[in-house]
Parts: sequence; structure tokens; C-alpha cells
Amino acid sequence: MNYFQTIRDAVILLALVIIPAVFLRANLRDPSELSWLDRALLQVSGPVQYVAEWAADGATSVIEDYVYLVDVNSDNDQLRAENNRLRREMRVSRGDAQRVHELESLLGLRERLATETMTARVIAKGISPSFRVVRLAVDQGEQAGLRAGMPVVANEGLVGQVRRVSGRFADVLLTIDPESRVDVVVGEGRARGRIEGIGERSRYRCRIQFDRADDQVAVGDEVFTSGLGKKFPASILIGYVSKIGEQEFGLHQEGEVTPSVDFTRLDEVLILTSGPKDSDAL
Amino acid sequence: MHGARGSIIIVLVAFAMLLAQSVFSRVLAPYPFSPYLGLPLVFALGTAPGVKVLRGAATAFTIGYLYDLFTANPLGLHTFVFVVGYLTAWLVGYLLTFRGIAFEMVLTFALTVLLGGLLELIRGFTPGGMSWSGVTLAIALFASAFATALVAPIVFAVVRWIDPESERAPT
Repeated sequence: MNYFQTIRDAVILLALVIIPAVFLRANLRDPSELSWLDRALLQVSGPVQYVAEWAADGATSVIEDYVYLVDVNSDNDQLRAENNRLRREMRVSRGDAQRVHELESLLGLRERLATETMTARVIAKGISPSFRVVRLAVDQGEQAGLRAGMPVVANEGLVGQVRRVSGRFADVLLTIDPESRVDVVVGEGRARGRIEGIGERSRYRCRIQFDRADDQVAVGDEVFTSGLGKKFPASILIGYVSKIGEQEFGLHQEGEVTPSVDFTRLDEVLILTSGPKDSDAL
Repeated sequence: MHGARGSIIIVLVAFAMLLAQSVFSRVLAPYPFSPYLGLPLVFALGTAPGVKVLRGAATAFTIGYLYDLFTANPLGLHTFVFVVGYLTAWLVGYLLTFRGIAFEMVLTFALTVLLGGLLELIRGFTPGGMSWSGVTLAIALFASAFATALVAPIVFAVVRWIDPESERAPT
């Protein structure tokens, strides 16, 4: 290595130390105090820095996103499992809340009814081919003191009556059953009549026969038990008039009643265990 | 020609290490034991007998410049410190004859503490910089130097593998 090469290398080395120091000095200073040299250096370094940072950000974000995505996958699995667990718990809680709500309603109903009652849980439903409930069984029976003929009510209205009892269970005759007959009063005019189940297996309907042909009733009128015959307490809601037959010359007027109780959704019922007293409960 | 190609590859490796360091720091959050992967690369160049001073300093300059650009530090900070670090390592390598893993680790530890301190000192002159307390700064410096010293033999080996010429003493 000759003398000039040594000098050249030393100068380049010195420049390699001084140049970054100058750059650094220009970058560390307050921008308001920049000299013309500082401004020139920043002018040169700015675009280079911008492009390089843009490339670095891109490369770094791709790698980091990939690394984070690995975590996201495991996080997703955990969250999915937790979500499933919470959904299961929510379904159970909803069921419990629904049951509590029904029990609270029944409790309110029991307080409103002026008679002794017993709560029973629906344990079986006979379902027709068109998915209509045609028969109910409850978890109280002879041992609990039930007897055939006791009225069965729900918060929405009359369900029917106990048809037969065995040791721990009882069958309920629904108001829509063809064997069911209940004396009723209808609407504000207190039109008297009697309803009986039609027994249609595709819809919940009862036939109503009014005592007088000229009773003023309309579709939508409420139908209540009359209390006649002391079989059912008076004023228990049964349903709503859904159809009025054509009024012809004759002794009776007929129509149809849609029960207020949705038999499909029944889970809890009240059985009136003491003899019927006067009631305006429902 | 071989030397220039080796330097380019080393610069690319430095860039890869910078990305790895960034990902490593964010994902594993090893603070304060965050290794400074660029410095042992420069020390390896400084102590390699086959690397000419000018080439080594230029490579250190480029690596430092890359660090400045990609770590959003004031431009020139790492460039200056890396060139100074390279020259210091070259001087140490010139004065001392023994080599080996222990040498690489001790050299890396000592120079990382010094250069890390220099970096923080310069950062202290930037507006809003140097918010460290003395104890916190010392812990951060020594922990980082310790972590860097642990990975130093690997980085030295990588440099030797990339540029075998670097181990050949000049004739």
C-alpha cells in the first residue's frame, strides 16, 4: 500500500465517522435553528428516509402480522370454546328464567284465585300428527289429593280438568277435547252458552253454543267460565270468540272460540283442589 | 470482489436481524434482556483479520444507517455509533491476539455497555429524550449487553460462514 492509498483510506475512514456525526447534529437540532447545511442534509436524507421507512414498515408489518396471526388463531380457538360454553350457559339460564317467570305468574294467579291450589308440572304432552297438543299429563296424582274433575288453569286461562288420576300422575282433559264441556259467559252482554271441544287435531278450537239466538256477541269477545254447576269457578278466561255462525231462525246461535292458552307452551299449571268458590281471577 | 459480495450479504443479514429483533421484542417482550443483534455483527467484522478496515467501516456505516432508518431514530445516531463500534473492535482485535467464544462474549458485553451508554447519551440531547433514571438505565444497559453477549457467538459464526475470506489474514 503506497502513501497515497493510506491517505485516501484515512480520509474515507474519517468521512465515515464525520458524516453520520454531521447528519446526527442536523437531526438533533431544533428545526427552527437549522443552518443552510442542515437544511441541505435533511433535504437529501428526507426522501431516502421516507422510502426506506415505508419499505421497512411494510416488511415489518408482514412479518409481525404473521406472527400475531399465529396467536390470533389460538386466541380464536379459545374464544370459540368460551363462546360455546357461554351459549350453553345462556340457554340454561334462559330456560331457568322462563321457568321462574312461569312460576311467578302462577304464584300471582294462585293469590288471585280464591281457592286452594296445587302447582303441577307438565310431564307429558300427547301430540297430534299436526303437532297440536291433544293430551297433557302432570306430575301430581292421587297421592297429592287430586281427584277427577278438578279444574286445571294456567296464567293465560282455563286449561281443562283432571280426567283421571293415578298414584303420582294425572291426565288432563283439555278444553279443546270433544269430551270437554264448560258453561260460559261471553262479552260485556254476559251472553250465556256452552263450549265443547271440536277435537280438531290441526288447530286449537272449541265450538260455542249460545243459549239465545239473539245474543249480541262479536268476534274477539272474551269467553269466561260462568260458574254454573259449580264445576269451574266463575270468571276464568277460556278464550276469544273467533267466529260467529250465521244467525238463522232457531233456538241457538253457534260460533267458534280460540283458547287463550297455548297448550304447546305449557310447562306449569295450577290445579284447583278445593271446591270452586266464586272467583273473578282471570 | 468476494469481499464486496460478503459485505452486501452481511448488510442483508443485518436487516433480517433487525426485523427479527423487532418481532422478538414485540412478541416475547424480553425487556430488559433485549439483545442488540446489530452490534455483534459489527464487532465480528472489526475483529475479523481478513476484513479491510475501509470495507468493514463502510459496512458498519451501512448497517448503522439501516438501523437509523428502520428504528425511527435520529438519522446518524446508529450510523455514528456503529462506525465508532467497528473501529473500537478493530483496535481491540489489532491489540489482542486471542480469539474464541469467551473473547467474543466478553468483547460484545463490554462494547455493548459502552456503545449503549453512548447511544443513550446522544439520545439525551434530543428534545424529550433521556427520561431514564440512572439505575434504570444501568439495568437496561447491562441486561441488554448480557443478552447480546449470549447471542454473540452465533452472530460471529454467521459472519464467518457468510464470508470465509474474513478469517484469512492479509498477506
